[in-house]
Amino acid sequence: MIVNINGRDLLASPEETLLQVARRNGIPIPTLCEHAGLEPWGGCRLCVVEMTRGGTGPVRVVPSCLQPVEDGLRVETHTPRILRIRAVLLDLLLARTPDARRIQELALEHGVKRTSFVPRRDPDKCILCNICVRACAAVGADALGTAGRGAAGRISLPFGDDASACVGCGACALSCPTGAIEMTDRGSERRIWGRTFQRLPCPSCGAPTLTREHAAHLAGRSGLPAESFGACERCRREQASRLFLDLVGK
Amino acid sequence: MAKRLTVTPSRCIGCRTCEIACAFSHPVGAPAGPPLPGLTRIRAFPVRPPERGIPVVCLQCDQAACAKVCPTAALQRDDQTGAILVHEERCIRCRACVWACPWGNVGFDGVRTQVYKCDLCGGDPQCARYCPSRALEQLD
Amino acid sequence: MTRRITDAAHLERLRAELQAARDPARSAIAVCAGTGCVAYGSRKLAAAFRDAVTARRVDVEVRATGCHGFCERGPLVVVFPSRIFYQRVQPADVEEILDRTVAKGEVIDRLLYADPTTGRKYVHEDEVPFYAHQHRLILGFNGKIDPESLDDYVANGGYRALARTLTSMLPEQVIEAVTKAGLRGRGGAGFPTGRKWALCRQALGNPKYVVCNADEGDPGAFMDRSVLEGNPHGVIEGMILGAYAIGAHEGYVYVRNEYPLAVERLSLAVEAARARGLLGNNILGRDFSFDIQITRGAGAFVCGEETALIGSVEGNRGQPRFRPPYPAQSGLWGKPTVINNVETWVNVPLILDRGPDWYAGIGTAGSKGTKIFSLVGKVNNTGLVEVPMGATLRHIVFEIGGGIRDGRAFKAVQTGGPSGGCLPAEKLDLQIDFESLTAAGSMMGSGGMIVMDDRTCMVDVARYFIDFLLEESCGKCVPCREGLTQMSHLLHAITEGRATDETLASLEALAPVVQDASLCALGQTAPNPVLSTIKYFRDEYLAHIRDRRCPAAVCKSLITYTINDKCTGCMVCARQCPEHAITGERKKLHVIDPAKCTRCGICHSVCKFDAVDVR
Repeated sequence: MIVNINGRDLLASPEETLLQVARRNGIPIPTLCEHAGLEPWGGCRLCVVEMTRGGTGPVRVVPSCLQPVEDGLRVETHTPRILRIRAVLLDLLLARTPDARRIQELALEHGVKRTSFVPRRDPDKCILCNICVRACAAVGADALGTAGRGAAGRISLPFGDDASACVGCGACALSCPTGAIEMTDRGSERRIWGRTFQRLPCPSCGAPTLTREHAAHLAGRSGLPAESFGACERCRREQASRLFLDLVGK
Repeated sequence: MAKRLTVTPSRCIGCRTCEIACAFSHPVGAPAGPPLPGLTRIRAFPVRPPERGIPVVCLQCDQAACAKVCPTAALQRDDQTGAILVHEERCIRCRACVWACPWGNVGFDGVRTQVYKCDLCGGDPQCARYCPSRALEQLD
Repeated sequence: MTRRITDAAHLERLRAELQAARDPARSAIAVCAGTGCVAYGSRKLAAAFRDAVTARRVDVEVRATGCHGFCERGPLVVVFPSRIFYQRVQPADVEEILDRTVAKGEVIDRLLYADPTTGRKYVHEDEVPFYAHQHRLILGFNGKIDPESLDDYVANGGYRALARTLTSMLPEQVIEAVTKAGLRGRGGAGFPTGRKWALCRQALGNPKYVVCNADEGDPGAFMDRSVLEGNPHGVIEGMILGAYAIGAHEGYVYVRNEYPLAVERLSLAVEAARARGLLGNNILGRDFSFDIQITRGAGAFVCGEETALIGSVEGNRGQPRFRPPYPAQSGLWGKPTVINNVETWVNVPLILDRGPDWYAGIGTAGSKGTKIFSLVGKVNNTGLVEVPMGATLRHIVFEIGGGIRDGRAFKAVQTGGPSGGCLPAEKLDLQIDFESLTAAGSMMGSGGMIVMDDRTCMVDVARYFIDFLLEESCGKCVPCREGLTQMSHLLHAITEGRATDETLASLEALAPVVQDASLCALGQTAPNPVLSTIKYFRDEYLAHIRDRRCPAAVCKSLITYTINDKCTGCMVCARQCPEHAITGERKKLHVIDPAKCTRCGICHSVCKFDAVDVR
């Protein structure tokens, strides 16, 4: 099917979203909560576009990350109305998370130097995009969720402090777009979500690798013994080289 | 049938040209970023005496453990080159692939917070091109 | 008595038996047992009637019925066969009612309803202006039937539509009838019900589900509650018909747990219907099976949004998701699902019983049937009112509602719940339907209607509703969560006298972004109270901003209390002032110290001499 984006007729397949078609064709649309590897969310609304069905219908503002393509859609990604929405959204986010670098950069790109709204008291860097929650669910630990409602919502462990389901893989912290989740590695210790994990020492060099819980989790999901995950990649390569050496003969 | 990166360890002279070639063809933060030998996707372990080496590089396994453990299907085989590629936009940095590869051929770049592995340079592996002793070859 | 009803003929025999057993001349006392009257003590009243009837060994039936709608005047009692209507009845009145009205047919003047403006008294329920101007298609059942008795529903024509439909109509014909009737969703959006059902019937995927949305959460709205409490079988019958039409075998009612009586009566009704073979396998002996489960909601306003509701039924966090896919294609557990509101479901048996042409004859060109509104606020007669679509606001507020309380002036009416708009006096002749309300900057919503008088500050109203919606926002999307946070800040600045012209400009710039960019109807409609009050009452905003004055004397930061020369020096205000801000000697003019005054208004309300001014 054909979708028209910003005046260009573009070929699209039915399972695609408008965002995917736009990106595939080099049309930039800003996003924050979108993550290609995770379930769509539709919360940040930065990716909104104007859409008209069949060229004559009413102009609707839709999130391109969730809007499936339809034959004959006409889409505009950078109209004054859309740019204004994005600027206001970033202005709002800047009031929420004034210290988040990704938000500062995006806001600046949309002409917002500082927020025109009332800044949040005691701000953190979390924009509630839910990427961490979805990543954790994808990992299979499902240790995170949203607690509270509305402006009082926050990313949270069950009951606020039950980190027992966390495996300490760090996916949440490393995939957070604003760096809102703190994870510190000191020696073999990893602290995240208020819990201290021990990272397994590499059997060869002793360097800390993944956490014991992550190894057990991967073992459970793959059916392989937990030991197969414990070595650091450098020592593994070295072991591989020795294996090859044995095979080819000295 | 795609060409295959073939390793013949007995021909390796341990010169580590492959590592340099790899690092230069995968600059950090393209195009201006500096090449980092530490992030090379291939390693040639010197063995001496006599002067030789054992190259270790991703074998693009048929049943690849890295792709199998990835929870977001961020590691997928490229039909053209046969390489298992990291689709960074799909990656959630759980690093299961790093721990799952039995040969240690998936690494994690702590600066970019991104996993990396051999991508066969889009079908023209630079390690093979610069290998002086044909220990690494791109064969049909 | 609780034997299974084997087929349609059996149902009709049962109905005939029940009706024959009822002597229309038999004395009966109907006591309203809706939530409002229960709160006024109608349970004790009904018990007192029962005790008295037993003690006297007289043949009088005492019946607890659903909500009559005139909650303001509870507990309500109707005496049959004379149909004499008493209001604010107390257990102490029981003996007199039995002695005089039941035994001798006399009217007890003191218990009659008297119009607060004209003072005229009315003997019968349907003569009271509050009822006389209504068209009680749905609510009419409430006063007639005992909601805890399936037999009572059957005796009043219940399940007749179901029997006829199952024996003589194809599912497609049911959809056709509902489409032809022009029924539109009563939950707020007004989507054509027949079209929704057709989409779901055609959708691929099995099983299919029907869901009843009874998560009524608007402040001041209780029409769904009243229908569930007063006529649960009507809702059940509607759901069975809908399930038959789309090919579903399972249904869910999502009802707020804050409605204990509705949950209780609905549960009883479901059990009764199951025991009699009206739910379960092979309903009325036909090759059609359907059952209903009740899911209790935890009281999140946003769970009234259909996708959030579905998530909540599934056991997930109640937050909306983007549509498409629509529930008709992918709803509960990813299966095609028809989700309709209580009032929509209860309309369905009526349409199939009396025919789509009859139904389509009521209402306007685009909006058919009646609509129940919960009329509350500064109006004389508060309660539930049911009028045909197309009735005017004036008709509802003045003829049914009896005008504004205490003889004050009408200022505005907010329709459609917290995110509806506030319409001024010049919109009173608006004919209410889905389109006209939206065009005027408000909406039908689920039918809340709050009447405001001249002592209401419209800026404060907007602030109140934005704060409510902010609290109830699920927080998933940025424009609703952060946008309402900032709209609240801006409105607080205005009501607290910290605003400039820029504040208003900022509010007007932010509101359309919240409307355009929000994920679900909660956020998309949330700016309505702000935009409509700015549109119709801009002067009031400007008075707050430029003159630091609240014309309705409501916003505490902008008002001052002073004592005028009507003061007799009685010292009552001085004694009652919690801040000791009033000084003065006996029989001398008192003075309020503005520095100490917290503007609580106690002095104003305790002064018998109208000597405290608020400005």
